[in-house]
Amino acid sequence: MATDHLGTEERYAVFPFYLCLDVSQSMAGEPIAEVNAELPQIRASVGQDPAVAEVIRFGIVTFSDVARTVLPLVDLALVEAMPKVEVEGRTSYAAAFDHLRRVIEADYYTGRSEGERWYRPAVLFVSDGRPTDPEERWLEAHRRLTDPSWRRHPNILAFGFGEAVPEILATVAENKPNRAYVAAEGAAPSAVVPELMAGLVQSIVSSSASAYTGTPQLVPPQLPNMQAIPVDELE
Amino acid sequence: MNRGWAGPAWGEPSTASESPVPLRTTASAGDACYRADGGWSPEFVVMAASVAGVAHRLAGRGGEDAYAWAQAGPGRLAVAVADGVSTAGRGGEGADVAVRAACAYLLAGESDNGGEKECEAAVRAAGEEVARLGGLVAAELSTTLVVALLSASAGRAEVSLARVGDSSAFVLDGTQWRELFPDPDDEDFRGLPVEVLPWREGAGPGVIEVSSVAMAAGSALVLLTDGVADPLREGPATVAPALAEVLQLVPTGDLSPLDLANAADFSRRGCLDDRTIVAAWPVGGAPPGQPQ
Repeated sequence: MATDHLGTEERYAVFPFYLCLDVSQSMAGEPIAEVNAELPQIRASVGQDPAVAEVIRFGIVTFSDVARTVLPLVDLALVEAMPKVEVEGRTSYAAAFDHLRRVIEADYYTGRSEGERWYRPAVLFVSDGRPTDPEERWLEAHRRLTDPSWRRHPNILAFGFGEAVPEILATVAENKPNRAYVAAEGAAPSAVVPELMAGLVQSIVSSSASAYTGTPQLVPPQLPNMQAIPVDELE
Repeated sequence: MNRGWAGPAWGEPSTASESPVPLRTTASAGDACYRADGGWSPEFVVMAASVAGVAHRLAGRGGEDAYAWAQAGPGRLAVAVADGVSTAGRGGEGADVAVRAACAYLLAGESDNGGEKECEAAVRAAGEEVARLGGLVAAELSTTLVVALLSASAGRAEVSLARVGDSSAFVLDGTQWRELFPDPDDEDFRGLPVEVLPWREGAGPGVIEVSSVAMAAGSALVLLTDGVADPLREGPATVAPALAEVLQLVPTGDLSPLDLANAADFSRRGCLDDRTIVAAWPVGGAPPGQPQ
């Protein structure tokens, strides 16, 4: 078979990661302090490794009553300091999922206009509690975010501790095997959060390596029952 | 030369390729980060280069690609390129075994099928050799492989090919590239796992793809690992014309293997994989730069 198919558009591979972080009241105190202490480590490990930074784009979305983009999707090599996240109100999963869908869609078209070729984005969802919004509302928002007919739907890895409910985290991860992890009941946030953040850094670094060798994978942190996920490319 | 050794920038430059290359703990000529070779016969001009990707260099590792060729009889040239799977553990070793075994098979002329069947048999033989040498841990030697057999006459050539995985083959005619296998970005192939030697459980020799083409005088067959093939597809205004321009210097005798290696090490954002290029031109008897 012979094919003529070289296109005309210059493209550069990008692997977007969105850290979606619960900043509800239950995160007050030690958990949020640990998060803020660990965020610079992501910048140091990802942004200062040129081989990783070239492929990875990283953004942070926080959610409580509302969701916010506290770090727009960016090349971490260009970030001088990571933002501090602050505790806010309740725990609206719906706000998080709706915001993520809007942000991913907008970032994708911005990236395309700059010649980026996107691997399917990854969402690293971290929560210490159960959603406070009505179940049907957050489930509907989750359906919109994960709708297979929406071509930019992300792969989601979900991580929980504190009051997080394993069944709910599994739903967030689309009930797909090996995509959700909940820390042992009663585990101290001061121990869980640093370990989790270190795991997320390793996940991003390993995923970037798979991307530039041509077989991209979302490589999860080394936690029980988590496995690498093959990642496709967006049209 | 910059600190990171990179060659010309084709597209937006890579910042990673500017980083100093750490001294590897151990190194030898066999696993050099730059390998290059070439030569002329009355029937073919061949030039090859393989460079370790920036990601491997910065991690203190060598490359895991391999290439080989064999003059397999009058007017017959076998060429092969392989890309060892980094995460497998010993992918570079597997790639080296695969290209040598495929060319040895075609050199021995054990198959009288000819054409695509002969190349397919060469890939099978390479897979068997990788499996034999790897034994119970053969998966550590996982590698892609693309094999081509050129039959030349009067500066033209009939080419048969077979492959497993995403290493690919192109015909370069002037500045025009034509890929000889399906585009991996086609919707039909998107998201499918990259096949490798030795066969994954449940895969088997059925995953061998074949192709063939008749090459016009003056055109080149170019085998590439995905470290070059991907940016070639993604850089139609940069990588594709620049690499074509470089390769056009080979038949005129104006490019050395080291020049090709330097070009293969082009700087481009996000392109940090190992890169291997083997190009072969059927010629009509005169050395490069001399009238045919």
